[in-house]
Amino acid sequence: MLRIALTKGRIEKSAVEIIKKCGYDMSDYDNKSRRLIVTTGNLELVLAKAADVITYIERGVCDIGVVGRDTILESGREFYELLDLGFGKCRFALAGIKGRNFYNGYTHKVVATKYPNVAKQYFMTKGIDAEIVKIEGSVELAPLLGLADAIVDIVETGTTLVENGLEVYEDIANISARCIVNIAAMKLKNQEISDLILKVKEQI
Amino acid sequence: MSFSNITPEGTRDLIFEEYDRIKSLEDLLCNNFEMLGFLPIQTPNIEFYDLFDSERKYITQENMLKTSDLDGRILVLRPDSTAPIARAVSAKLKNEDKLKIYYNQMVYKQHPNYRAMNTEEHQSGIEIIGGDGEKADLCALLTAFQSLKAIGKSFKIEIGHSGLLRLLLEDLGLSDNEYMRIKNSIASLNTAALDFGSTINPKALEIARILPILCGGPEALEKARLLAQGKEKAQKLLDYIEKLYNAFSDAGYSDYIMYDMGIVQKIDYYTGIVFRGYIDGVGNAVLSGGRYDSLYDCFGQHRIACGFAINVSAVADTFSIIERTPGKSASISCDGNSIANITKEIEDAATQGFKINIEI
Repeated sequence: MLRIALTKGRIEKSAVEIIKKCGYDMSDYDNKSRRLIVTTGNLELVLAKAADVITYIERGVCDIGVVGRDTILESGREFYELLDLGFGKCRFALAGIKGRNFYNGYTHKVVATKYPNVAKQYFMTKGIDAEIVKIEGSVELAPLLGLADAIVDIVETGTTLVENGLEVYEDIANISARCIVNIAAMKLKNQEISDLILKVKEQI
Repeated sequence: MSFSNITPEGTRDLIFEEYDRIKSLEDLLCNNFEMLGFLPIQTPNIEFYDLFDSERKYITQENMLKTSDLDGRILVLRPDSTAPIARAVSAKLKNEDKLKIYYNQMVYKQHPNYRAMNTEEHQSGIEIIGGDGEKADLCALLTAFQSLKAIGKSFKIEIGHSGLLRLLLEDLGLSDNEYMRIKNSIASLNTAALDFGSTINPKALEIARILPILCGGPEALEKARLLAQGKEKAQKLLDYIEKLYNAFSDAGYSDYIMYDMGIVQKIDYYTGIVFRGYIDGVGNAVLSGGRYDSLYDCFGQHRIACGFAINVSAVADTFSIIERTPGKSASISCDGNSIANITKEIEDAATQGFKINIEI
């Protein structure tokens, strides 16, 4: 029995499609109503928020997780990242007010983001001691209100940026849904996991 | 705010049966070590910070619990037992050329809050100092197998080699910084971090992505051999772990042993084989160890050594609490009984092998 944690919402839907294509009977899932755990064959599906998927996988209460790479990068936790599932594609980018050069001048740089760890790590690899401000909602507001010089955020189409007079300065990392595996499960249930991964690979 | 009713993050009181659970596991492991010819050692809970601040910073500063002594020197609560034992052996057991030591003590490491990780960890483990490298490796692995088998849960032990990554990346023209980034990302299984501004040789990135998931049976070894094609030193190293693997799988351990080419340490601490053990019910390794032939150089001696530690706290949590059975016991009251009388009752109880409860 493998326990799989799926990120609720769009990722869950695409992941369930793949599991169906692999030949699993998903009738229990289709009739799940508000249940958070459903079983299909030898799989147990757990529906959770992205950050919690990471926690359940790291702690080993679930064996396999499907989660966006944005959450993986932000978490910095330990588990195996086995597969790029190819859906939920977007990217992390550095953006700010159109026409400005973020790197110009010697002034102290302030960056607003919902992903402080990603931003911190990015500027550390560049050797820039930018100050990171954590924002919970629409990050685009921060440069417009003069709180920050730029933002680090997820960009899908870039429409929100354009409509607010912002633009992408540079791309930071590509994002898509990933299949992650708990460290101990990878050893103790190696065969089961490899078999499932192989089946999934054929469907993506 | 009052702190009088709570314990610091990551610590816990072990009350009655919860203490029994740890204690019986420790006894089991220590008896096993004794039976296999290991001798006990205990080192202080507090050591100088400098002991762990060597060139091989295998425990990061931010994870250590620090305090200072009256002279203003920085002290740490021991985050690990290997370095303190190496200190003790170098200072006091210089003349013993072969040593098999075991320990059973707490280690202290700070973790981020709210992750349910222990700050205090009960650890039992062994260190083998000196002797023949290969024989010592076999002895350490055998002891590891015996220990996990004794615990009685389904388990796996994986072996790899600390030198593999460097040899695979050898002629790819990486800067020290790039090599460190790859190594750290594999060690923390965070290969995603390599995405940031990568100008690293794509061949090296490829290795960084494949290596962590190269675990399993002989097929994992075959894939590693392909990665190491044309690299004689890397092949030799693979020959060695294959020899160890075969020694155990031929002896009927094939269900319990596997290769893991992705065991990479953040620091160049291990110098030879590395191995980890997993048991059902724990999400991470409960046993980890390897060969560390250069640690003693820090103490001005050249001695080869290997060892492992078992996270007893994590193992204990997988067992359910066993309620104490009262057993044979009697009660005696201090009321109307002289101390001489009570003492006699205690002696009688001891010879007859039952408990005596002095009422309060």
